[in-house]
Amino acid sequence: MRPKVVVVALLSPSKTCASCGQTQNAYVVSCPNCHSLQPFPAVTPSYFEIFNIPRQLKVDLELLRRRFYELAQNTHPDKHSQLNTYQGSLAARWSTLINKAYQTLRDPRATSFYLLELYSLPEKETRSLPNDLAEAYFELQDLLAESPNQDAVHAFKNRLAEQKLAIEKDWDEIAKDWPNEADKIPLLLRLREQLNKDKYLSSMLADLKNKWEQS
Amino acid sequence: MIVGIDLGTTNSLIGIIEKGRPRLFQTSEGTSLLPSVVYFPGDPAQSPVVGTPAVEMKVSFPERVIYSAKRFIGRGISDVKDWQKLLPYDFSGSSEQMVRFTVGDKSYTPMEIGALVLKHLKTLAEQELGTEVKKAVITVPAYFNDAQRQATKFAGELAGLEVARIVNEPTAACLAYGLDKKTEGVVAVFDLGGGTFDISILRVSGGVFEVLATNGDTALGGDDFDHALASHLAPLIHQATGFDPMQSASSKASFLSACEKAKRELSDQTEIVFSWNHDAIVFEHRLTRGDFDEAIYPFLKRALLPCVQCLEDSKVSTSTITDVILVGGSTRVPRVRAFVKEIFGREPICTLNPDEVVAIGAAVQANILSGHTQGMLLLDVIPLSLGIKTMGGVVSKIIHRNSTLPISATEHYSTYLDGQVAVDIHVLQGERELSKDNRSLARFQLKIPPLPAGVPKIEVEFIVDANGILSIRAMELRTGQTASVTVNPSYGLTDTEVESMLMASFENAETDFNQRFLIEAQMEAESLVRATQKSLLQGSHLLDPDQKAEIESAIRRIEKVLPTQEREEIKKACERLSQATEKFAQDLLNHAVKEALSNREI
Repeated sequence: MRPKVVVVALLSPSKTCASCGQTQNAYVVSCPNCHSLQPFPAVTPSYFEIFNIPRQLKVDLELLRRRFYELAQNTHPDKHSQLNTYQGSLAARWSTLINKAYQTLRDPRATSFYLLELYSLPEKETRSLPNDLAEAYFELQDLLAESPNQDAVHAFKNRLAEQKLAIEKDWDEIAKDWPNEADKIPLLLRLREQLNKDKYLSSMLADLKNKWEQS
Repeated sequence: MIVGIDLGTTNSLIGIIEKGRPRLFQTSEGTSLLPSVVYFPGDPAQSPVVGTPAVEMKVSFPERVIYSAKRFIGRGISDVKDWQKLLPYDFSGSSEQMVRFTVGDKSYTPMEIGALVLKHLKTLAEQELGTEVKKAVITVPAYFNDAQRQATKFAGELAGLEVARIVNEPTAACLAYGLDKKTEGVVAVFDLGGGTFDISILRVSGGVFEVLATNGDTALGGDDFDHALASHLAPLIHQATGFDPMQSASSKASFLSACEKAKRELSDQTEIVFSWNHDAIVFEHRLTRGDFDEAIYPFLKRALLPCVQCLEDSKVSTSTITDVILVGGSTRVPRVRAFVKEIFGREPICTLNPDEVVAIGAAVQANILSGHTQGMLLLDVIPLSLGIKTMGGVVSKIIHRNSTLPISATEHYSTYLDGQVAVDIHVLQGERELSKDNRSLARFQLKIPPLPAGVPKIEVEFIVDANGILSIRAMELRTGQTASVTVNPSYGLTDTEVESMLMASFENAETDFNQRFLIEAQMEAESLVRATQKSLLQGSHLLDPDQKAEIESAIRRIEKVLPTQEREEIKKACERLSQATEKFAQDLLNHAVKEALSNREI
């Protein structure tokens, strides 16, 4: 019988070091026992698995940074330049993944999009103008067509800012409910709504800013 | 042994860390500063002269002395239009891709000038150490783009050095301060050199130096202050003597030297007498620091916007900044210090010599790479976003500025036409909306087997390494075959030119090339294994047990030989895997085509 296990171990993230065989209680990137970097698996571990934190919307930034620095100290190519080039290229690959993970999880918006991706809820499908923004959207088109008027632009900007604040508030609530809900899908759908709204609001605010600079 | 090198616009330095202390090597003039100046003697049999003796030739042979070459590295002639008239060089050999300085009947690229300076530094270190120096860390302005970084790295290779790392100057400076005392907190580094300006903000914690954001201007520095003073004084001289100091190359050179000297004096004194003698002309003029400050302010204020942007990108407020560090000779100017204080609201520090601090930092990084400084780690960022040209000339950003390095981005491409065999990809660097406003880094073609439209699935990975240098890998996902990618070197030389320049310069060309081939073979083997593993995940049902066993054993063989230095063995193992997967790849492709066609009918 061919030892199929070998290929399987290479394919999926593991808690056992491929070099010395010691098992850890978290997913191994760089083995705490023998310091060797693990082979890069074909199935990439999730960003949360990498930092050994639960899936969540708003990550504890201090904790995240501490874990990131720990991982960076072990995986950065600078720490493997004296070893053979194979460990060196693993270092480059792991660092790239860890950097990408850190960049995503330290930003709540990027984390939200990432969670949608993890639960296979693509954001693309909802790129339609949300109903409760429709009125404001068409008003804005009128406003942009007119000659610049500082007061009108300012008032409108305040209105949009208020709506943005409401989104932030709901976002916080979703983050708060997250750990307690067994079924995450309804929360994620709500999140997707808010992200879509936020996208429209941001682009409307950008249009207003241009108009403001004209006046 | 890895050395640290600061390849500056005005001066260059070389050093190491010895028993935890920095040691900079001295020139024959007994200073650590080697002027980045090269003199080409009229007699072609004589070799070029580097450093102070070259500086002394500036006035007598202005057309044979090249200085400030760093301003031109990795640039084309249209990039430098604004200041080429200020410098007394013959640019007639230049092209859109690259600046060339013509001296006599030969022309030199900025990389070759850099290489001459680097070679001289290498010799200085070798003489004092008594051993050969092969590897170096070289610093560049943080705001250097990919082309400028590659060109600097190439200059190192031309000088016979393996460039272990390109490090950003402000970051290096921060490391130097980190070596000196236990720095913790958020540090801003204001680096104004002879020709470049950088601002970086770092978080320093537990030995990790994390760059949060960086910004700058690669064409702003002390040289501009000299020129500002020159522009202020030239009309006065013309009026008083009837002679325009900017009219000939030799009077321009001596006049600019006098301005440079006045700038230095005005950093210590509030009032001086400016004097300039040239041929029969004698000019003297009372100059106050106020006059000077006023003359340079239009240049200095160009540093404001990068600082504001850097603060915004790093998401820190000035009140959380614990230290502001001054780097670069131009920060000796009192008006510059006052300017920094105005922006950051605190007194900047410069306890280490601003001329030496970058070289010391380069030596620290060299020490880290040698494995000697265990707890210290530098996490740097990419200074400018990378993007791809899309429909209508708009840039779609794939890697954002200030992303921690190394970083990669993956894009997927397909075809629009049946039987289409190529997809064009154009990579750009910069922050602007339209592709024409950004620096073009690479244009390449993905070659694809002729298939129905939409069937090929090409994954292109853009990888920026810890040096901030881009490389590109492409793979056809349906078959797991690596697609061929040809990237033109972005510093404006063709592959053949690069090769012939390298061959001419390498004393040990053979070993270097062997090393390069070995690494290439290892990279290729790895991507082959990864591609095969991905294909196995998708289509192992298409395999019979024998085929599968053979593929698995071929993979294990590669994994076994990968860490060895045996290029031939690695190549053999790769061939074996390719053979083992040949039929599998064909089956996968047929399967994909069938699937695509059946979808189309529905």
